[in-house]
Amino acid sequence: MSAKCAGISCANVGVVFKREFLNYFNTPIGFVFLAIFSFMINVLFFVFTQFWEAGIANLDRFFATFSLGYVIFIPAVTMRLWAEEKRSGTIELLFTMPIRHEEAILGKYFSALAFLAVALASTLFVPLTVAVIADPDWFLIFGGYIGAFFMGSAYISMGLMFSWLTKDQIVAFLFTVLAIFVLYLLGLEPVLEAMGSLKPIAAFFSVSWHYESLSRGLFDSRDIIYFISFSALFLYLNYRSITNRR
Amino acid sequence: MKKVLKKFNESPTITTSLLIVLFLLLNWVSYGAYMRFDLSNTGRLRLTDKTKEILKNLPDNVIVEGFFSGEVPASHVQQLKYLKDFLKEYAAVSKGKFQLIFLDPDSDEEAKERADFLGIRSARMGSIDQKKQEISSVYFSIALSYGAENQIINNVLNVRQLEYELTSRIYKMAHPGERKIGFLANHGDFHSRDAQKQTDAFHSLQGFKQTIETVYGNLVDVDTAKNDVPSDITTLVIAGVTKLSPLDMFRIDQYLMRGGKLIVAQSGMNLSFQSGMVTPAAPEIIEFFANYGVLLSSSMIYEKKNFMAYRTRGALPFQVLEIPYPLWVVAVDDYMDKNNIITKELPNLFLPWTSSVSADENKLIKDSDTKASILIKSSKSAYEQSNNVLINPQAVSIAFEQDNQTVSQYNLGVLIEGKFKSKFTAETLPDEAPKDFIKEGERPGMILAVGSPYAISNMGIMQSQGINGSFFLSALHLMNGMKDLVEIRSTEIENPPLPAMEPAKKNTLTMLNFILPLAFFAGFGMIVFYRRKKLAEIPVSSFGEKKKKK
Repeated sequence: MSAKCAGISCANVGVVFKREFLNYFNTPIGFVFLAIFSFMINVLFFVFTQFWEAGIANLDRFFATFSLGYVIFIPAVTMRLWAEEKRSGTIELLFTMPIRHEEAILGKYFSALAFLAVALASTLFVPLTVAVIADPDWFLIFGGYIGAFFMGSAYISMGLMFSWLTKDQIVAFLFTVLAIFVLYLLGLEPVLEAMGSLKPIAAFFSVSWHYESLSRGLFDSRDIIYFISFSALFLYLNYRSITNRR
Repeated sequence: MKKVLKKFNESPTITTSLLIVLFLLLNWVSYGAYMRFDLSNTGRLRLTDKTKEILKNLPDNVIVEGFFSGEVPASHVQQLKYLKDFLKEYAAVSKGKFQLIFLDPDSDEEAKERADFLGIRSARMGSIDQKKQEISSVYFSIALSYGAENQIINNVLNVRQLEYELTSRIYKMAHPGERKIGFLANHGDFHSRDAQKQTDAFHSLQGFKQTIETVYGNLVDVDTAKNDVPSDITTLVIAGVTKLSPLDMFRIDQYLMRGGKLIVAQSGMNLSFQSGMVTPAAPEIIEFFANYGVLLSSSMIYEKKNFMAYRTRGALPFQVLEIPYPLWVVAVDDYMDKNNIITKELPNLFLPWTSSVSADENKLIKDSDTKASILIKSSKSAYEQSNNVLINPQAVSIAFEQDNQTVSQYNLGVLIEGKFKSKFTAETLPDEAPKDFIKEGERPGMILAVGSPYAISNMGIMQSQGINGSFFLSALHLMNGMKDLVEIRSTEIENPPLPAMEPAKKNTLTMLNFILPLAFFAGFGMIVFYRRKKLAEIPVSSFGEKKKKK
């Protein structure tokens, strides 16, 4: 008998998780995504942030690049999760199995999170390079990765829902890119300044704004609560949109 | 009830709306009570509790405008980011009291006008990278506004203790005129006016005045020959007095009895730069301070190990000679009291022409608050001389090379805390003094004494590159109940630098970062697809056979 929480079977979540996670690596696409993500982060960090010219063994700006890197990477990770099932018709098969909607959502969500973790691990070469030549603060690096993971988890929950809304992966990708880009822009200083009195509201809704503290090695319970509740909200919206449609 | 709940649960509109409300509510509640801590080893963005307390208790909001150029030389990009992060951290912990705005005067005409109005200047910055050398004019300034008050920190990149600079300025703006520092004027050569001539640097306290003004405002001249020490003076500075009448002494005494605090920068010897002679200070002055436990020695300290050299022109053009000058004593951190907040983080203290100074706790009223500490000592290679003291560098240098004095360690700075006894309980009162006076300290007072008045003058402040100023400022903070500001001052975070490297090595490391992940994924991908291909070659029927064999 498998463990259950609020009627959700961990075994069923595990089945969906395994299937989805392995799916990323069943085709070259998964590897291509990982390679592109790693390449993009390196370009942003080494070329645009001028790491060598700054001359400081500090990776703040490395973690800041994730905000922008996710605009492309997360939609690529989430676009096929539901859209592909709907296009190929396997969705019907999935829902005829003894798996609840919540379990399917969580399985897909965790698989995307695991893929994100692999992608983040692929960027570890940068901190290791800095560690070879200088003495970086590993607590800060740890904090930065935790923040990047939380930010990614929030975006994934949103991308998962957009993937449900369409049969076409490209449409899901574009919707998610647009949404993430808006949430990213809302966290930028010039945009916030232009918002005037709406600045605190705009900042609150921006995922990248909440990530900023964590990327600087500052653990703030408000940001963690925001990321978790944001993810929960979109997973629930995903659940609602599935039950409504069916 | 169950039916209502079921119906309620089945309504997607209601449950979705409720969840959105719950999302907003949960986040709103989280803003009321939250935890925030810096994960870094160095605590680079960790603000002290005092800063948080000051921000929390601000009666009004402080508006902070960061004037930063959008484009800065690459070598300063990281510093700019740190600076912005630091300011954001202030805003984050202030609960809305610290309103932060970033402006770029280079691209925004209104911001440029605002910068000009506030007197903000751009700074010229040079940077050299592998391709080119550039000098650019960039904005790196902060303006703080609180009510009608404004404070500007220009070229903030040069500010070493940013938290201190920001917090102390905010504190000053929010509490104008609460703490006043007085200077005992017209009792010797030392004064608080501008140094008009170069020789004035020895006696002007202008540098000290500038050091303290961001927190304490103007240094107020107090003349006890004319009036009592005003009641709003929280600390009185006495530097190099050569004469004190009985009435002066009475007024200073009563100030101490009322719980006043004194900074005494006083030598047991008087210097004459004109004659080059050193003579013992007036005995009544030495006795006066001795009444409160400050024992000034009528001698001069020669430090053989840690001293500042005297620089003079050599015979050749542009030749500078450095002459050993043991009368310019440098007390180093090995000989500082590490348990006292003033000297705990002090790297050194420059004490030109200093006497030794000791503390006598017995002169205080014995209670739990009574405390006398030796803050600063010379090295063990010092000696003191009371007769035939020469100050001429050439003569001192010759004596330095020949002398065979017995060396020892001497006390150079003391801190005495507690309730003091009035000097006038056992002595005749001056004619002008009221008969009804305070005989024992009503409140605990404090005296910080160093054996050199030049330590607090422009000479000491400038030659020490501001370290002497930090020392006296820390003492003022301690005396004025702002001990936490001293701790903020010692908060200085530096980012670890990258070692100097050849461009070729940098390029190699950059290329490796690009290639290694790609090679890893390509390799891993090939293994996966090779295995899949192998599996595809096995006939489907053989899967069952394999299982059976097992």
